[in-house]
Amino acid sequence: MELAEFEYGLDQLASHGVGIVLNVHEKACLKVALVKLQQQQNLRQLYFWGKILTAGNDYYIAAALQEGLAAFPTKKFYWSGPSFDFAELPGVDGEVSKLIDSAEARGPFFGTPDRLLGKKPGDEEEEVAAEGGGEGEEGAPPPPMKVREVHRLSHVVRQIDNATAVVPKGSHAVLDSHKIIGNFAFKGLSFKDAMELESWVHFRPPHDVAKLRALSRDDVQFHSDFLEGVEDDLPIGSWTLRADPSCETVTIRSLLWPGYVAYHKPCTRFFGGCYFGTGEQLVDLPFLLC
Amino acid sequence: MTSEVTVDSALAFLKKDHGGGKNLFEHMTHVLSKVITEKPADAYDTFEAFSRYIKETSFPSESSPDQVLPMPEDPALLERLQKWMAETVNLTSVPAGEDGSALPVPSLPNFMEEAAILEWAGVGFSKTETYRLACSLRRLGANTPGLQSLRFWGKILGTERDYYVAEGQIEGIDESADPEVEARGTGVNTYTYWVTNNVLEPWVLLPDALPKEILAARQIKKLFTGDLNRLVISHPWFPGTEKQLLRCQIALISSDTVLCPAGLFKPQEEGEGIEEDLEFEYPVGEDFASADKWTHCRDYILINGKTQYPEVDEEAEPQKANEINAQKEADPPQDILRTLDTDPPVGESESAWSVKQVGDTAPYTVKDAATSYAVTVVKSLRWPGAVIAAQGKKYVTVYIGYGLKAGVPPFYPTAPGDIQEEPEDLVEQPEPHPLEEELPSDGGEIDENAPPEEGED
Repeated sequence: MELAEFEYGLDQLASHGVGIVLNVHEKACLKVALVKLQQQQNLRQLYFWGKILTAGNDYYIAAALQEGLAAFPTKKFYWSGPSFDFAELPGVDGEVSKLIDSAEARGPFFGTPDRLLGKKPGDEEEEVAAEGGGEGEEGAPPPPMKVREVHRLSHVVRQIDNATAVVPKGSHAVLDSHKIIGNFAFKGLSFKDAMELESWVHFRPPHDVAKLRALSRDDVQFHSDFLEGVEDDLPIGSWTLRADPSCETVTIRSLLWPGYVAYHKPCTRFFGGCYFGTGEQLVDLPFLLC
Repeated sequence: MTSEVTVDSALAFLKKDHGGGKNLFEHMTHVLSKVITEKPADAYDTFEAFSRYIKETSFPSESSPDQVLPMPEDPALLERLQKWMAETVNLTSVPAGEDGSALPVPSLPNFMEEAAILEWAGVGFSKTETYRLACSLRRLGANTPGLQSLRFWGKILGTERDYYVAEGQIEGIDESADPEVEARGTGVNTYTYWVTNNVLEPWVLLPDALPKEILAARQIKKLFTGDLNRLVISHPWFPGTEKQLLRCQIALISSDTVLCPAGLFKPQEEGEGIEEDLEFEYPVGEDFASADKWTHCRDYILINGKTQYPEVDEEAEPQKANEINAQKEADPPQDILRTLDTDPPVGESESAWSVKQVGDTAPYTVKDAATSYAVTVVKSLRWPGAVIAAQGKKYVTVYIGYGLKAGVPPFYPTAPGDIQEEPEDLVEQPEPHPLEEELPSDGGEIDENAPPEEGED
């Protein structure tokens, strides 16, 4: 959710979300930390992205949109631990992400960003010592790649963001310059439309050919149909929509990434989403649905 | 020839009618006023977009039909709103009997206070939702006869709707006819559970848990839908509907995650249960934030789906006694007040629990006694969503989650085998004809022209 709507959005998610809230200490510190980050990095669009629950100290994630040469703004992610000092998440290349994905039954995050994956926090020193001794030997296998928990965090955050980042259809528009901006003419979906999966789209560069064509057309003026919809996401049933009894807010939850919730207040321009979860995907979802 | 541009002539040019009452002057005025009222951050870049937007949506000499036509009202939406208003008013008033006097409510903790502690732990709902829930529990308590105590157990998230769960104890033991089932008030059925999809609506009593259902529930992994009467389609087969599965899952979660401060309860001097130790003193501050300061306080559910092994006469029924002894060996009975290190660790971590302290960790001295306002948070890694939070002499246990156990391998049913390729066709041979002369023999061992022994046709 956008920084300007931070507290309002959190309240919406607390009422209708998955039961995870931020306490007053977190709210107070995050607000300061995000404003500081915005000023230091000169970020125009900064979002509170969510919280990764761990066995130790939880991670807080922020995301910033930056306009570049491409039509789609680039997204940068920042993380912080209990000190509320945001730092950019390291990039993760293909090899490292493959390594992270290949580990089975990894379990929850530890909350120790420097921990080497597969090792307990205390094992670090032994690892270093062993490496030092093995240097002279010939034909020794190359030392294993140093993948730390912060790399896994970065990988998982990007994975979640790519699978979620859901916004109501029409909330973004394409300019003459093919740049994508928040649509100032967006006045909200009607309640009936908001309760349809077709009205929700992923805010990410589209892969679908039809959408790419829509994006590259010259007469694409306030064309709202250039983002991929969630209704085609697999497995079918991985998104669930509901309205609160007062019909004031509609929320959409991801079951594939339990903990992701987006909300929209019909007939207003308010919408947003957040992830509060352990960073684990429900890989066997197709078999858990009836 | 030179033309002199005056203000008047420029205005006249701009106001030149382009048909249908459109002129550039009007348009520029509209666009500028739109830009000024909207104040976009990037007015320079979005100027053309504004211009086109105005051209497309404005109509000469009158505003666009979209703006004047009233929104068609959705009757279904109106009905829902009416219902919501009536129910909320009903809920927030103090429950009263037929004569108008306030109904007595049994032992029900102050949920608003508990929710404040839970908020520190990072779980809960918004303030108004919490209040609605507290009112709903109050109404349930006031309208349930024979209720001794009641508390908010948690919330099970579903794919269509969620379940709010309340846990209560009903007076007396209801001896059930079936000896295989632990009677209400004992074992896994010590507590009784009520659920509702919506706190504005009445609560529904869940049936008691049966051992065979608990055994089946342990073997399956399923998401709840939010419909109590939905059939559970699973492998292995589950004997019942979602109602029974929900009850079993609640029993399993409670058994694993309901904790109390170590020492608060002690084994009963007479009988098998536990009782409160009146001399117990709560640890203060940092002392509380350690896994050995907590113990379980619910019966351990054994591999027979019950909390106890039946007593069998070895001489009368030797076979049954052997069976039970084997079960006892595989899964020995455990104390109610077992410690947390008896739980197997999850994933790469060393424990099944995470313990930390949040909030105001400063040490205070109140009336010469060391006091702490910090909140100790104990989270289960086995059942993500199970949280115990303690502040001072109060502690709260709650579960908010999908009802899925963590650290178990993902459920993938075995896929059917690959479809086999068609065998290659045999080479066609000419049909033998008795009138045709046979070719001279090549002297080989095999007679190629002999009819096949097992012909296809």
